[in-house]
Amino acid sequence: MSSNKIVLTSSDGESFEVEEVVARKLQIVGHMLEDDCVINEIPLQNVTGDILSMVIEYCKTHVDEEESEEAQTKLKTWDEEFMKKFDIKTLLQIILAANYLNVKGLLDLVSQTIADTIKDYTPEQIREVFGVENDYTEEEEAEVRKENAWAFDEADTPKP
Amino acid sequence: MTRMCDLPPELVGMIFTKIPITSIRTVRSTCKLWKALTKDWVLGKGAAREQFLGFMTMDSKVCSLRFHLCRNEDEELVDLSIKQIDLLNQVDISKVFHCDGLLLCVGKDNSRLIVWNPYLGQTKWIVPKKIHEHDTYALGYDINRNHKILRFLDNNSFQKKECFGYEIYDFNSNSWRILDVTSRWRIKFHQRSVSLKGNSYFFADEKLGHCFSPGLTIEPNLSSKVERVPGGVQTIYLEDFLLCFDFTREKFGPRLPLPFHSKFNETVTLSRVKEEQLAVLYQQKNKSSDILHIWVTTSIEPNTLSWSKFLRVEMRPFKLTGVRFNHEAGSFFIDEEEKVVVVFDVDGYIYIYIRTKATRYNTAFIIGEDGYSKSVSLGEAPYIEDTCPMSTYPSQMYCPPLVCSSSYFPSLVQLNQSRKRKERDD
Repeated sequence: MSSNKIVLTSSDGESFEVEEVVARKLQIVGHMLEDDCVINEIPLQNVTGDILSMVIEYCKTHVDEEESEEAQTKLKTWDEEFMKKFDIKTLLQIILAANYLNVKGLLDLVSQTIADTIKDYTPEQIREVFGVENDYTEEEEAEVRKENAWAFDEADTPKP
Repeated sequence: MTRMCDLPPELVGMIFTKIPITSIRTVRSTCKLWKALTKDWVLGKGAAREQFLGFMTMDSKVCSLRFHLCRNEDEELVDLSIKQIDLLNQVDISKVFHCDGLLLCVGKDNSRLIVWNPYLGQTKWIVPKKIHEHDTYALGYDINRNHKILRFLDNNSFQKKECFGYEIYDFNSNSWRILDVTSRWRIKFHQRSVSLKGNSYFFADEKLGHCFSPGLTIEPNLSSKVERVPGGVQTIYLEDFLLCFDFTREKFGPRLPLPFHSKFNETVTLSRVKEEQLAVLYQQKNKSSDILHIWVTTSIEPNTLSWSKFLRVEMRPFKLTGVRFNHEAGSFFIDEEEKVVVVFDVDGYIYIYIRTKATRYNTAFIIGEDGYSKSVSLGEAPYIEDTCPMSTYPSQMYCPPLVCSSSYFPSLVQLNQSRKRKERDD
């Protein structure tokens, strides 16, 4: 395996030296390398250093995705612990970065984490945490709740 | 601060597909933009399914149903919640069918059909051309995903008067057409179709030439036979099979094998497992105790299918437990993970000689391996006055709850034609 190093630079000028195989987990980088294989320093415009460092941490951990069940379980546990470190605001930044850098595994992981949070919250909690403004009138909101009453409420589901 | 509105819509959509469908109310009542986005992205499409969400009719009302069973060594949690849907219940509804995220609700007197897309909140009212109390309905779609309704009446045993007719309703043309069908089978009017990949499956048996009653001569054919005892017909064996109505060809396919042979008046009902499999319930009736069999298909195409056993439960003597499913009820769904079947009927078994009006309950029977059995009462069952005097089934005197077998998967199938056209023009 190539031990070639690549330097990734964030929008706020922070640089990270990583193995090429780690950098390639960022598909945006992978494509650049395919287009021109002599690059060894890549500026990434849309992501700040603190977020990029987390994306790199994810990519380093996922660099060899072993098929064995044991390795998969270990990775899954790591993913769960990794996600627990962040608040919603940071998760939203990570998902934007994962989308821009095109890291599919991380995109899935973060969107699942956000989905699980929404699932357990009430609309009021969601608005507060996600910074969403309530643009319904009281009547409109009651109407929406009525129209969708058939689907029950996940938040009311009894948990064992 | 990064907020949800800083995310491009496709990212919000991607998150939405991972939220279970049971959270739709929460998501839509958050804000107008989120509500609009749920109409482009199907909630729950990519979510792991932990619970059953479906539809049923009870006391002639359409209800949604949520079921979740969680068992471990120390505790057990059964969540079975039912909610009446006010939107549809301006008329009495007797049955619901599910196909491709759409529900076909059949009015109690068959004079009206309502097609409902719960996810999009759209409804379409359809008036059948002719109506008969024993009409059978099925919902499906053809290869171009044009949705259609099959309506038929194929029974010649009602007062020896022949009733026959097959019709199809096309959602594109909004009109009914007569179908040319020659049937050499019989689909009993109480059999409810199950749709799978656009086509509908029915339980059927060999057609008898005329109305039969004990003592009547019946011409036996190769696969069907009648055992006679002095004084009349004891048991009638008819060849039984499944039939698939192909909505593309608008024809019934060949006879498909069942993993059993049922006797006259034994309970056989169909259900669906996820979007790929069919399940069949067969209650083998013996003098003292019954055996409940559930099979699931391992492969299924309009022309061929194969089965594997899901559950075989010896029911304790029904006279003690009072559990014997009616052939007109016995609708069910299965929980693959917990390996249980949930069957709906009215509780209690009634002796033919001591039939009295009593308080009966709509009930969900949860039955599994190793004697696991639990019944959940769903409220009092209304008594129907005009009943068959020979009946030994409470559900023929008390209208049984009917579950629309499969778990509900939402879809973005538009029912509003003008809107569809507008979108196409845009």
